Amino acid sequence: MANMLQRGADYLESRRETFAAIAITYARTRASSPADSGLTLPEGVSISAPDSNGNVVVEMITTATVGKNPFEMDTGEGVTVTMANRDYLILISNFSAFWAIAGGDPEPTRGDKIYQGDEIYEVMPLSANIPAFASSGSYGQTWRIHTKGVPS
Amino acid sequence: MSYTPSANIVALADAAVVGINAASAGTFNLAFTAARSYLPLTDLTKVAESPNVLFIPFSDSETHTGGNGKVYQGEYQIYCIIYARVGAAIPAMNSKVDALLLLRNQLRNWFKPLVFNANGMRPFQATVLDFEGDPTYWHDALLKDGLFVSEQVITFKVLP
Repeated sequence: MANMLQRGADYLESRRETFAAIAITYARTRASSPADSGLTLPEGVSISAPDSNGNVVVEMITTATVGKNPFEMDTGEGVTVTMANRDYLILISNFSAFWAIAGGDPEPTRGDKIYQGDEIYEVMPLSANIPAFASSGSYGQTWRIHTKGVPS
Repeated sequence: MSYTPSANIVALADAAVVGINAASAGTFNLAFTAARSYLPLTDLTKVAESPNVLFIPFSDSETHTGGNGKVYQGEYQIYCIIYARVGAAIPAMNSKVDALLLLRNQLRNWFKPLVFNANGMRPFQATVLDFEGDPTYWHDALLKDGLFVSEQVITFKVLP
């Protein structure tokens, strides 16, 4: 018999996905491959034409819940940079068809981008000691992905 | 034409900005327009990939010695800040950082042989004595923000 607590946690995550999520596009840039033209793309996944550097952008339309939005300021001796952090909660299972097309590590990686409407957020670690994502939920069904707003 | 005096260190920073912006094509590997600033405050969503080059007054030490204080020594320091967005993707950022570090070096080389004429409280000349660039770039900003930030202090000796 499956762990009842895990079933409960899965149910709660599905409720979050249904009632507290928005549509976003998750994107990763990688080098193009001759095999790209023959790929069968899963539903919701697309691949761009190669750019002038021979890179393609693999995109996936999915749902995510916006987590915390702390405002941060980095101050050096001279310049001060303000930034908007944003966490996105995305079911790990939503990525299952994406990684095979996107290539690279099958987990959120710095430099990946999330498009929410007109805004662009780039996956980045919060600090030197904190990776760019963490498992979320009692049974790790969800990734909490750390991003920062970048020019659109 | 009337002359509006300014603080000596501001006049020196302005002279650097004007000189750099008038440098002949090909002097620097990247295109930019230098500016003088007091409190550069920017938002990550507004930082472009093209470099921002800023000069900020930092210190102005002066010593007057000898009879009637007529022996004068002056050292002015100005921050030279370069910042640009390079993105978080590590392989892609490398070539951008390469170019920005080259620009940093080119700016130093541009300053080295020059004597600057500045019109502050009075006209004066200054030449570069020292560059202080530790660290070369701001590692934390590169790691956390995908941002290249280089801060170096240029020390000028005011010529007698």
